[in-house]
Amino acid sequence: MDILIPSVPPPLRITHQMWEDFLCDPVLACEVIFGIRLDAFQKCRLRYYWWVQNVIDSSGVGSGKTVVDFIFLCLRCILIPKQQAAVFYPSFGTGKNSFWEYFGSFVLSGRAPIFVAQLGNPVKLEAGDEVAGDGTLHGSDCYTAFFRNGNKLKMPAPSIALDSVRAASLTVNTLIIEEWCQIDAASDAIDKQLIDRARGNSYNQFSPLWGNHIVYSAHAQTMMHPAAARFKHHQRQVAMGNPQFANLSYSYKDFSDLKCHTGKSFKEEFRIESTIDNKRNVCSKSDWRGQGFGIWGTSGEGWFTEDALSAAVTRGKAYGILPVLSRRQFEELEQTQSTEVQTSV
Amino acid sequence: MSQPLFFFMGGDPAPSDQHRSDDGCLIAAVAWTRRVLEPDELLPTNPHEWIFAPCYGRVFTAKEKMSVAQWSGMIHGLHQRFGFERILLDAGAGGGGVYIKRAMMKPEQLINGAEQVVVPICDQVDGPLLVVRGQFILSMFGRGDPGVNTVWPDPTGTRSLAGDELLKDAMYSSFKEGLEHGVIVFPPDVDEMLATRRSEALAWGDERLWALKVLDAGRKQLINIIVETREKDGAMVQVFTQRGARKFQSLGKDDIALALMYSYGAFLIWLRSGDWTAAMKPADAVGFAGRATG
Repeated sequence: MDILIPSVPPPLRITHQMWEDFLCDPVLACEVIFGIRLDAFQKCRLRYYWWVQNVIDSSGVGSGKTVVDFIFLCLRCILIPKQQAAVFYPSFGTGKNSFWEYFGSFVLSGRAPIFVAQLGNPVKLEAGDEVAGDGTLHGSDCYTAFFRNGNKLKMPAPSIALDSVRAASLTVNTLIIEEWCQIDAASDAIDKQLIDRARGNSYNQFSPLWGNHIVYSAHAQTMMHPAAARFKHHQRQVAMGNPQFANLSYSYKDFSDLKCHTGKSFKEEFRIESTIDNKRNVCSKSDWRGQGFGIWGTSGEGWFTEDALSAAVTRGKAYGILPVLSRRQFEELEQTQSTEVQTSV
Repeated sequence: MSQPLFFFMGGDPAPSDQHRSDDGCLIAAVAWTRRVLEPDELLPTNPHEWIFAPCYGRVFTAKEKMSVAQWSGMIHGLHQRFGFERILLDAGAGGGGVYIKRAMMKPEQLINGAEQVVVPICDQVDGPLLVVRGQFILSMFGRGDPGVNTVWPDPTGTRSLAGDELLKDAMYSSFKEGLEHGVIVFPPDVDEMLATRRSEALAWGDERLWALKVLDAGRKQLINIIVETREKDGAMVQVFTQRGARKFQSLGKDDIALALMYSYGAFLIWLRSGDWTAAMKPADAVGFAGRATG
């Protein structure tokens, strides 16, 4: 078995029994290998990623998509033999700063010794490639993490403007396309190049576990967005009951009162109300449905204005309108009001 | 005010025997003329010379599992209380309005838990064929209804509008116009009422207080109705269907908002129907309800 490597100290080894358990339960694998506990909805997300081959995750901002993406890709590389994985960002810089940062944080934090033990020695491929402090290889147009079992996780520079032609020779088994809505809006990179990347050989291409996986990750947009066609196609497959497709939508509201690794609740730790409020205040309602709640909505403007309705209430007060249960009650109301007016005069 | 009062009903019914159906709503509204009319002066036909005020609302959720017969009885019961001039119900296939229309034509109705003999309420399409003695005050919101065709006719001259979305556009536009031109007025919102006249409001009883809450919620639902837009040349423009109708969406529930618009539609249909402008010989007018006999 590729993953049983004698040079790993015994306490940090993934035994055969553990491997079997981890394949069936990625959440358990996450807790043991990475030493972190996920919130309930994040566990669901990880299981969907693990067992469904085509996933669109439209969850809102601040719902912890990136960390689950990282854990998912690393688990695939650690646990599944002959696995090549890749993550694409519309901007290479964004990927470096958000996704690849997790390598540094897990390696340096010391809370994931089993994970660190699974990382292999980088192999320098080209001049200019550098081995970074997190043990991964930083190339000018691709970052690569090597695992002991020979698997690799790559983050190539996307070259979206060129429809990702630089990715043409890449072949992977597991692919995550981050901020895919932006990519769909800017180019045909996903259709022309990126989907074709997930064509690596696998033990069983039809198996939900061994087969190749693609995850599209970005908050929801409106149905007028160029990315909506792909979402609708997925939605149709989900509606038809195709088990190879799933559409997910979580939001910051899903953070629970369960305790996280710091001792605080997930809600206290990760639901940053001030940031959410700031974001909500600058978004239109339909934008917020997508960005905040991960709901694919329609873009539009209010038909009845709040001012017109407030003015209607003001006029109603002038006429003394109140709810009534019958014609008679309304007539009595009128009489009472006219009597009051006469008395005051 | 000394002007005569006219009551109307709008309804978005949702009869259900299961727990998954939408909410349904009934709204009653009152209308009166802005100015006191001269003796024997005909009522004005221009909506802008009227004040239209929703004054009662009730929502029925799926939990209540209201059957078609119960919906029909509820409408008859409210008609006994208010004496509606015109009722407009949603005729959509999913709402069950068509079945309620049939049930309302029956002379026995379940009102307040007891079966009562009533004068049937009928529409003007099927009603005259099925009922001899009835109140033909019901309109179903759909193309083909005589009342609806009168208010929102097809500009090209055919009898009905070419598509349902055009009718929906026309109704939304009419309500917006009524709101912006000061025809439609609303009761105060619940929070203000409970803050300023709390003891009075609490003494009303559940049904009346809930009516205020329903009308309040209806206003919020109206705000959540959006018209679809898209970006064109840097500006947001409205999206139109092939027939030229705007595309409306609701962010959340819209049962009360629709019932409010239907009640206003009932008012417009009554106004354009001209039933009350029929010429009458003075001799026949003696003793006619609502007129002085002197």
